[in-house]
Amino acid sequence: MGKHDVAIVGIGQTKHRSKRRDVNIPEMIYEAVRMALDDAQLMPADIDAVIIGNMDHFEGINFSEMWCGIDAAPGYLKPVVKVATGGTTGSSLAICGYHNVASGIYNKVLIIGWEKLQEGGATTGIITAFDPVWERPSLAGALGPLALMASMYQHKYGITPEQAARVTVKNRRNAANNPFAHLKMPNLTVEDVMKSQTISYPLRLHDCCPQSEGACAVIYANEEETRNITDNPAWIQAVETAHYYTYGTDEAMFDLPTATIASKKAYKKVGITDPVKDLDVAEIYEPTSWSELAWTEALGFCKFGEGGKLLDEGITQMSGELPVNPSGGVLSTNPIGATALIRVAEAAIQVMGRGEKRQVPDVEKALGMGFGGSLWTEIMILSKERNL
Amino acid sequence: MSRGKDKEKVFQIKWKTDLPYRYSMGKLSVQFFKELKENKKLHGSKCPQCGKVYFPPRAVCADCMVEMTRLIELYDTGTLVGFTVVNYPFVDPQTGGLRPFPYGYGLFKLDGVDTYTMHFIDEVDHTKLRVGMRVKAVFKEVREGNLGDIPYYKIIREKPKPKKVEKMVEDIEEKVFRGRIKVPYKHVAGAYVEKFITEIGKNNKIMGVKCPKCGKVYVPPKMICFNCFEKMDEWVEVSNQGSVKGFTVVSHSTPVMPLEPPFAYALITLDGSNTEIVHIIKESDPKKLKPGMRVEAVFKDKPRKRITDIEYFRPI
Ligand SMILES: [Zn+2]
Ligand SMILES: [Zn+2]
Repeated sequence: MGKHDVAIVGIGQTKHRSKRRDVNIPEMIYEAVRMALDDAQLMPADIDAVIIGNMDHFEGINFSEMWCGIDAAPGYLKPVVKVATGGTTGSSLAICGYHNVASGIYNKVLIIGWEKLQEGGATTGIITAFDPVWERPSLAGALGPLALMASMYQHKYGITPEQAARVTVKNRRNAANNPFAHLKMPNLTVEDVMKSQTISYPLRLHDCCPQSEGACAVIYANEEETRNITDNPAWIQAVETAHYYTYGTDEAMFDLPTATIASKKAYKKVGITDPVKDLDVAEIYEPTSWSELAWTEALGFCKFGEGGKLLDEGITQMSGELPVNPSGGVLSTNPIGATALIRVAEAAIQVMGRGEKRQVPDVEKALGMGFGGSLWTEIMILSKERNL
Repeated sequence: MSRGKDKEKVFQIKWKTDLPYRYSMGKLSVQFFKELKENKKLHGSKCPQCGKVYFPPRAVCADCMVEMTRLIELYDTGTLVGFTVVNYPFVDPQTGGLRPFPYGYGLFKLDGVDTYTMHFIDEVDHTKLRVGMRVKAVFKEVREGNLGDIPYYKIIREKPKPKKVEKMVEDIEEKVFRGRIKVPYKHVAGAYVEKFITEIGKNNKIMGVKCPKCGKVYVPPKMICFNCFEKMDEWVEVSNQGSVKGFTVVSHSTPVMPLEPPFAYALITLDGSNTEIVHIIKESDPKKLKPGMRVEAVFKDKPRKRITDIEYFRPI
């Protein structure tokens, strides 16, 4: 671990929606930043450095650090750094912020992720991130490859579309308890999901994440500063990153080996031997319903091929032994540059016991996961106690 | 600001980027496409250390961090391991238009290759596709040396045939792939910019906002004073006259310019404002321009909700 212990001491996020035509990008980000500063009761001058992230080409802007680090955040005359790693942008931000404080370089750091997807388009933007010669001609953004993954996963383990549909039902019903979630569907049924249009076999419309507009801001502090800010922080116990191959489809994606590698390392650091028993809640990055089933396997919540069974047994439900995505997850809310940071923020909210209607009782340890790029995974484990 | 949060009719700027680029493909890809064009043959690259065969070919084995300099000839057949039928509309950034859909899209392993690859397949009915089906590359008769020479893979009924013929890459000329990124965007300018632009167009008034803490007046207006990190709500009208802080004379022409060069481009501080605005001065003789000189805004007769509704500044 680092020189310093690091805690999350302030959290802010916008109410995510499909369109935020009332504000421009810096104005939207400011809402989350203001909320995080107020939450930690910090003044703008208290922030030592700002780390921001979103995806170039998604909104038709580049070099966003120039105008979003200053107009939207207290970054004037301070270090402002931008991180962009695709779907993992938010978790890369979270991990980058951790390193900046754990190393002793800064005492208090503000982390911001956002996306405003109606200004451009995720599918179009994602295609520009891939190899122009080999991949752009046939790539259909993220959903095409995710559909290939679902088809392989279905073939290998006999996972059924109904099992996948139950993930969407679980997550969008959970979202109804989250005031910040984009798609809240308390009455969604498996039948509704099964009847929705097939947009890329076997993915139906309701198997897929939405495109959202929103921002998330998180403040980190070292142990000394944390003592002055709050008596209810969320301590960061482990961060792990695992990256993978050159081309998006070099490997059969559904096994997500990076999730297995990164989570095993993180569990070891924290002394977790059985994640279902030892973790109290998980916020994972599921771009499709099928991916949540596959990722729960890769994260070691069950054996390979048993993601459907894990769900059917109710273990990942709000009332289960390891609730997965009480916030509603990515299937409910997806402002891409913020999405993985929201996983970390929601895990912290659970640890702090501030989840209100989406709170899981007695959370001691929570996992946040980011997924993206060429099958990349990032993991953060948070705890209520500073010393485990 | 008293604005409904969900007010839909707000000021948006729409445009389409069209960025040409030259992408250096690397030696192995250049050789691959040469063989594809001239001989209808597919090649992969093989790691000299672990023996792993990659398709598409690439220069480095990520497992060993060892350079691969050899191409290995491949069969044009493989096995389907995953499939979908893409059935949703999206803008293809290669063309700027919608990509035609539905289309079959497969993940497969070419025979003798250790990685997976994806491409179009010639079936749009997913009920006719199965994991494990055999696929074969279809080549265009007239080929150009890009991936379009293989428009799709077709489903066939043949058994896999392993064969590996290694060959050295010949010396090849450097080659770039020429592409374009064309993406349409809608930019929400925000309520501050909307009021600013509307006042210019409707009333020929230039408005700024004032920081409640430091008193600085921002033109163009924005929500946050970056110095104090305070939200600004107080609107003030500033003069349509001001002083030039610095200038340049633009003499070369590009398609994106608002008017034909030569013209001057200057930093102007309007009377009553504390910030500089960048705009055009219709005076191209550098001898007639100097820092500190006074200028006045000339407004467009027919406003279009653009910053060019101040058409230019003229010396006074
Ligand atoms: Zn190797
Ligand atoms: Zn101020």
